[in-house]
Amino acid sequence: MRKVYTNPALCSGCRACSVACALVHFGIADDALGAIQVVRDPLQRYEYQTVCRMCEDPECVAACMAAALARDPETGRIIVDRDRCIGCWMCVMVCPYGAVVASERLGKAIICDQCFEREQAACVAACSTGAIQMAEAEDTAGIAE
Amino acid sequence: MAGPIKTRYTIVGAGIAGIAAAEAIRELDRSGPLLVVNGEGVAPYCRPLTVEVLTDEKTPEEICLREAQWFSERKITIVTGDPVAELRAPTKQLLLATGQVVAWEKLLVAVGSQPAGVRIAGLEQVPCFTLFTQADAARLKPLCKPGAQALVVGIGLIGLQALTALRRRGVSVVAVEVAPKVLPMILDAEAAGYAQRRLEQHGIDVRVGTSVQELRPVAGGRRPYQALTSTGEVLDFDFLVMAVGMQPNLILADRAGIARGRGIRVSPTMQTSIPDIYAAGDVTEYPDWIEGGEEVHAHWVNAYRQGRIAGRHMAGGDPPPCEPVFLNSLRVFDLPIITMGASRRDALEGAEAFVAAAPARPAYRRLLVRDGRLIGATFVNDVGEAGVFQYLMQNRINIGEVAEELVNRGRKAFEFLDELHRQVVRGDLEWAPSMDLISEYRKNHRHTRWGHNEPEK
Amino acid sequence: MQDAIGNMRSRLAEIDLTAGTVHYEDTPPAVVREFLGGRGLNVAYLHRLLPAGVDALSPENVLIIGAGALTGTGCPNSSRFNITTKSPESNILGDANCGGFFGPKLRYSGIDRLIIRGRARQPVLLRLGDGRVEILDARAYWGLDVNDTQAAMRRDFGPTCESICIGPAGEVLVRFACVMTGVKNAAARGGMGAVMGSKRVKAIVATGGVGLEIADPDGLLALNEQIKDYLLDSSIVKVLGRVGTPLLYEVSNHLGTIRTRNSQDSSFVSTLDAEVIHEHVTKMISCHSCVVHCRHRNIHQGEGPEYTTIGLLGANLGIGDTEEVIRLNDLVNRLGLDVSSTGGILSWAMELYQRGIIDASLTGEPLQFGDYELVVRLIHSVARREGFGDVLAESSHAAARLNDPERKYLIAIKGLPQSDPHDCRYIKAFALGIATASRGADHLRSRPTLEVFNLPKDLLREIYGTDIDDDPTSYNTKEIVVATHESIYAVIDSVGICKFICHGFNSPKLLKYEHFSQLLERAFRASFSVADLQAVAHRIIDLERAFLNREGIRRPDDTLPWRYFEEPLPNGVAKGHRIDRAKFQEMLSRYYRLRRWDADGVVPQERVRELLAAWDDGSGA
Ligand SMILES: Cc1cc2nc3c(=O)[nH]c(=O)nc-3n(C[C@H](O)[C@H](O)[C@H](O)COP(=O)(O)OP(=O)(O)OC[C@H]3O[C@@H](n4cnc5c(N)ncnc54)[C@H](O)[C@@H]3O)c2cc1C
Ligand code: SF4
Repeated sequence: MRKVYTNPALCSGCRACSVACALVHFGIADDALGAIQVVRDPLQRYEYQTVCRMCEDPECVAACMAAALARDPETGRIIVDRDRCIGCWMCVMVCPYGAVVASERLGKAIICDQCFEREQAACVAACSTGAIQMAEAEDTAGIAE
Repeated sequence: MAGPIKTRYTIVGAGIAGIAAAEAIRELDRSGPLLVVNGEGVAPYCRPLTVEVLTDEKTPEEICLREAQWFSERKITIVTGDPVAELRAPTKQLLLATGQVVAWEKLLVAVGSQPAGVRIAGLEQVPCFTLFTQADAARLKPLCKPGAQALVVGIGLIGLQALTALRRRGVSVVAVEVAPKVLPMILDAEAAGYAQRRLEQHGIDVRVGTSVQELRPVAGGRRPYQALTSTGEVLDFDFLVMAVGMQPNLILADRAGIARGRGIRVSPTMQTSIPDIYAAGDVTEYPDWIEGGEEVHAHWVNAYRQGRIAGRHMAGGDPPPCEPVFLNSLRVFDLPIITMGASRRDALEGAEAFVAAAPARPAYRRLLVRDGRLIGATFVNDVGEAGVFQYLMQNRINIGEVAEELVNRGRKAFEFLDELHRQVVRGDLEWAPSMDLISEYRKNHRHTRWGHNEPEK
Repeated sequence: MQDAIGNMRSRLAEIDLTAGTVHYEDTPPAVVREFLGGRGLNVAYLHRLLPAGVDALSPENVLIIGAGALTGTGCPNSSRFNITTKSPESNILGDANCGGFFGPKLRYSGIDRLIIRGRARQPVLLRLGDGRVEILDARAYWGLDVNDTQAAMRRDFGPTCESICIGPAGEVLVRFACVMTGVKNAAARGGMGAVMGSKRVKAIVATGGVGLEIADPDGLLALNEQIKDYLLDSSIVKVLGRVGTPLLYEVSNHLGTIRTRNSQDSSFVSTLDAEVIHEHVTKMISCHSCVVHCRHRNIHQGEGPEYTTIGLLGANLGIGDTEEVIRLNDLVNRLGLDVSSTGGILSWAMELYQRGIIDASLTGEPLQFGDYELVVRLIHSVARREGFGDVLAESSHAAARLNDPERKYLIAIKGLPQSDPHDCRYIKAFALGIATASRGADHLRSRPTLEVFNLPKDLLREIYGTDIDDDPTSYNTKEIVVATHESIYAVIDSVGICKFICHGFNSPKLLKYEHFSQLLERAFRASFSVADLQAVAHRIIDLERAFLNREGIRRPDDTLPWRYFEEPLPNGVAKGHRIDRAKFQEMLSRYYRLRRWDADGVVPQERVRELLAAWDDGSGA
């Protein structure tokens, strides 16, 4: 089961990952539409990426009342059924990582699909610093002890 | 009449709590006879989306919670439109309205809640609706015509959904709320201010601190009915929607002698006072670790979580407990709001509030912290990170040092969350050594003759 | 025409602050075809909208903010936008190119260019989002420094907004006030901040909501990745990513060409070497889509320093303490002043004081090179126009008050203090480049430095299309060198990509016309051949010159600071070198001929007509 890992220490904050993600999934260049987001504040001096951690028992799926979310047992990814999603942000309310993108513009949730149809995830390919990696994961997203 | 249906598990109520329980049971026990009894005469559906049916944004089929196939695939029997009339604890049986007897070994009571009522003089003389079920929505729909005038009593979560739906259908709405602010059960005064302004911007006539004293029909008036308010005003209307809260459905439990307060009392594994009878969802009450006392945590996530816990325990599992807090995600027209815990409190003994407000946007974030623990949080129009706070609250993580930074997204908040969220990465994944964002200065940087050996394309 | 530019969007919002109105339209495809975007389209509009002789700080001046054609597409280093207006510092073309995150956000807001006219009655901010512009009251932000303003923007418009703003210096119309975005990205040169301040625009904040439609997303992504990998292989990109521009300080210092104490000296201390600076850095960070990450987040305050700061606020003011230079850098950024002019004007005053040309009756206190506390005081007083600072705030316009009416000791051209800390007496092409640059003494228009690399002859021939004399001290063929660099930079500034990854700036390789052509094809199905792009460059340079001509610029203005002709360089490898007046004039004549301008440096009328023809070319058809 492959999975996207991120490392804020290596993130230069450029948002190329978000744009690449938006290009793949929407054909639109706009970092706001990326399932991977880079939270950055040059004044507070930080930048970090948020992206789905592929929880084994995903809270977002549990919380979705429109049954718009499902976990694909094979790939572990969260599938968003955009026709069903009503933008109620229940998933946003419970994601421990703040990794569900609440797109007010679409009125839909955006969640990383691990670019399962591509050889390499778009964000990984776009990152110039190696701050995003894709690797086989047996472990599930965990919060470090 | 045929003999009793014999089951290992019977679930009363096919709301989200009941469905979650059935799902959880089947994860542990694939074949034990499992019956779900649904009182309503329709397929199980998503209750909060009832309003979407009212506004025609969804069809009843689209808000179906689980299709018939889902049940059959899992060998779950579902009975629809035949409510349970009586629970017989001593004999481990129950009786359906049609007279059918069902025998059970483990029983889950997940019968949810119903609209609460208030006594108002003249109530029986006016057309009064509630909005809880699909049937309610169907009854209300023909009245939702442009130009109609509705009176909504109560601006809580359900009142909000009702008035939003009515407005979307072109109905004029006057809404009264007895508390001095809208959404009094979840919003503090400032957040309620943002919500109220947004309601008013969308043409809702909002009256807070107002109750309805008397209702009456009038002949030859502008509208067929009138309400007299506590503030001495007269409000004309065509029909009334009552949204003054909910109450657990306790008739079955009471007759069966199950211990209860405002709701059925349950243990951390959702067991009631009677062995082998469980309860979950809106029908239960549970100690509230934040405010003390027993609370009915009537919201979707809690119903789901409790249903799962109950199901797993019924099937012999050992589910980890989950102490409920209030969690709400709502939308005041285009203004998204997420609240959690004791968010409604303007002040709470021993708690400190941390606020980041941008009234012009408007956006508002507020954290209530007691003894270093997050006990309440509100996010208005800036909800993206709410889940992080839900996690902090649910797990009672000490944020005392960084609360101020968290609400303002400061550097220390980043460091705190970075630590908390750091990924457990398998050993064979190494971060690329080519990375020089934070590398040491290397002498050869200076001596590289970079003019020469540039790469060929 | 529409076919030729594909689905490239070039939407503009024209804001009349006096009337409080906003008008939207698309730039005619024929004009986009000829001037592309960014710097090119900006000057096309400026030339069209601004008559000659307008006071730069009057409501009649036009402030144009435009993103490059590839800005925001996600291709490497596509972060840049240009601010173009008439400069209150030089009274000619003011045009500043800037990175950061605003450019892409501007486009994601559904707008590619802003044209701001008139003057608001009270401080305003412009809020862009969902394809619209709103004019909002900004009185509450007036007076805030650059960081506080942007913190307020993030608070009031959400953490994903991006803004540009002016600091206190722009509010009081310091002639070299800059426009800032982020902690250190600046549209710095030429007093863009003063123009924004004169219009009473405190900030422009973009919130997105539209995005940019890409014709061939998969193709673009594949090309982006290929380009990224190519760039990451480059040693210059790697070096810049590790130590940033301070690297160049050592190069100039070693040559004996680092401007020191107002160019009285040309070498300085090694405490400003990249190696030492590196000790003060916690992390290198990026602009939008950038693969280089040359920006230092330092351990003291803010970001930086860049080579320019180290040079102009360090060596040029005689300050060698690393931390002091970093702190000065942040101070100037927060107040919204241009680093280059601040350093150049302060050092000018210091030398005048040193020579007894001015005294304490004007300055209020002794001025001395190397006095950090003094510099801090002066910077504050300039940014608030207090006391002597009010004189210095006039930049080159202060010549008479400073008793140096000929600006003999000011290192400036056409009234604009020189930006690059590099003393141009040694590399002759550099001298020609800054003498002819369309915005005054400025290295970013041509910066011809490839010659110092000792490149093989055939590579040089490939780059310049002919044999050139690669002795940096020779005057021969330098017009070809300058023109070649000018051309590609004009296109780079118009596509909105950073020069650090482009051909010619620091490297003989990296991105060239071919790359831009491919990127435009993938992004928008716009077809620009290499020759088309070169023609665009040619047009931009000619139109900028025509704008200058209209404002009265002629051959005598294309000159160098007095000292560059008259005093030989005092230190290092370059010791003894200066610019020979006669040879400089010959070089200039050859340059004009190459550009097909007349002997007085004027663009022929028929060429100007040709440049303007696209506007009538059935606009939009
Ligand atoms: C209009 C509306 C909007 C809401 N919006 C939100 C929201 O946005 N977010 C949120 O978190 N929560 C919301 N809620 C609350 C949420 O819907 C409930 O908390 C949740 O549905 C509770 O689930 P439950 O399974 O406990 O009960 P229910 O969903 O009420 O299900 C109980 C089921 O039991 C059946 N039943 C009752 N008695 C019997 C009987 N005797 N025999 C057989 N069956 C019986 C009922 O017919 C019902 O189908 C909303 C509620 C309403 C009414
Ligand atoms: S926003 Fe969409 S995906 Fe998220 S919980 Fe609501 S319906 Fe489900």
